[in-house]
Amino acid sequence: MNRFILEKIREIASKIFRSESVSGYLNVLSLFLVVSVFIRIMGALIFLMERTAPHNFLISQLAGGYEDFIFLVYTLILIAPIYFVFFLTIGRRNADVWQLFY
Amino acid sequence: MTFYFIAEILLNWYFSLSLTPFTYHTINGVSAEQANQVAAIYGFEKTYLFFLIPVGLIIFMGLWNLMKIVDRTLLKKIALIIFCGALISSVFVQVKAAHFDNELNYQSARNKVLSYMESYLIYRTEKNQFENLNEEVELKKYYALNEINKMENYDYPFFSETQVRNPLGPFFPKRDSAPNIVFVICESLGKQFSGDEARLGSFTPFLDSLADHSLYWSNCMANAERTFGALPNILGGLPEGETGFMNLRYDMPNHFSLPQLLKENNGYQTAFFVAP
Repeated sequence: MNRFILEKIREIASKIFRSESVSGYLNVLSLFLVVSVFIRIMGALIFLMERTAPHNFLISQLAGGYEDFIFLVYTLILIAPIYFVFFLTIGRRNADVWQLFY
Repeated sequence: MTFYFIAEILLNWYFSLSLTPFTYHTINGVSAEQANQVAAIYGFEKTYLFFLIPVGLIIFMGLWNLMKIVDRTLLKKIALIIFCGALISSVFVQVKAAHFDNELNYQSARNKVLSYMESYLIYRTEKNQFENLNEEVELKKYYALNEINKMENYDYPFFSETQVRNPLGPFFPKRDSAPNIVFVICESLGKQFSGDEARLGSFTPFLDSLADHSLYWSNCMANAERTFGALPNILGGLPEGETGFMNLRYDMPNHFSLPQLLKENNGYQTAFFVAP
């Protein structure tokens, strides 16, 4: 019985994650996260070009990277309704509608 | 994503130059002309704005192509794990000033776009709270706090017979002749550059030495958003209000100031010197 339920959950999860809308949403999410790391590194470099690094600068940047993630995660949760509305309207004709979020 | 990219980089650039975050208070009440002047001080010309369009397009195309290069399946799995991890941990862990050994590290760690948005939300919340205050209740609190017996004349609610104590009086003994009075106001001289606790090291050893032989306020509150706003505050006791007294420009009301009162009633001569 348990095995049957697990199989069902796996099947549903697989369907959800392979559906074009959720897959596209995860594409946006992954891109946000990659780019946020890139921006954090660029921000730190801009600072170091102008100023000498203060004590514990690297640790503060790691903490800052964490805050970037949190900020983007909540932003993505907030834009999720907009994204899915877009997908269900324009997305029916164009599967790559998630690229609008670039 | 492109807008976030550009905004975060520009705000990081501003922070690197000024060592203060760009918040809503930075631009609130500042005219376009003043903003241009300040931007020019930091070496930013208006023409640079035209470059934002091609830069934005380059970033947009870069992001477009990035996903074609990377392994999407692996990236999505990593992203999903980070997403869930960050979501759960955000309930328990927050980036707060108390977690950092100094203000500079805290501000450099902050996400600059988030920091700006937070400052705007705080401003709106405080403004709403202020606008919804019950005037009569607040005035009664003010009278009780300052021990003022105010029974009538609400047209001038802050006017009252002074009952303020005079803790500074003993430091200024009466003399036969009026003393010379000199105000020295320094542009952008903050606590980070001056005094024993200067975050970036003190650049004012002489002023620091005077602190040992003077009345010195180590926890003085900023009374204006920007330096020029300090002048009416210090010399006229004129509050910052919503956008600052100087920004009232042509609507500026008649007002008293210390130099005016000293000159008209006490025989002083006044002079204003400014140096770049």
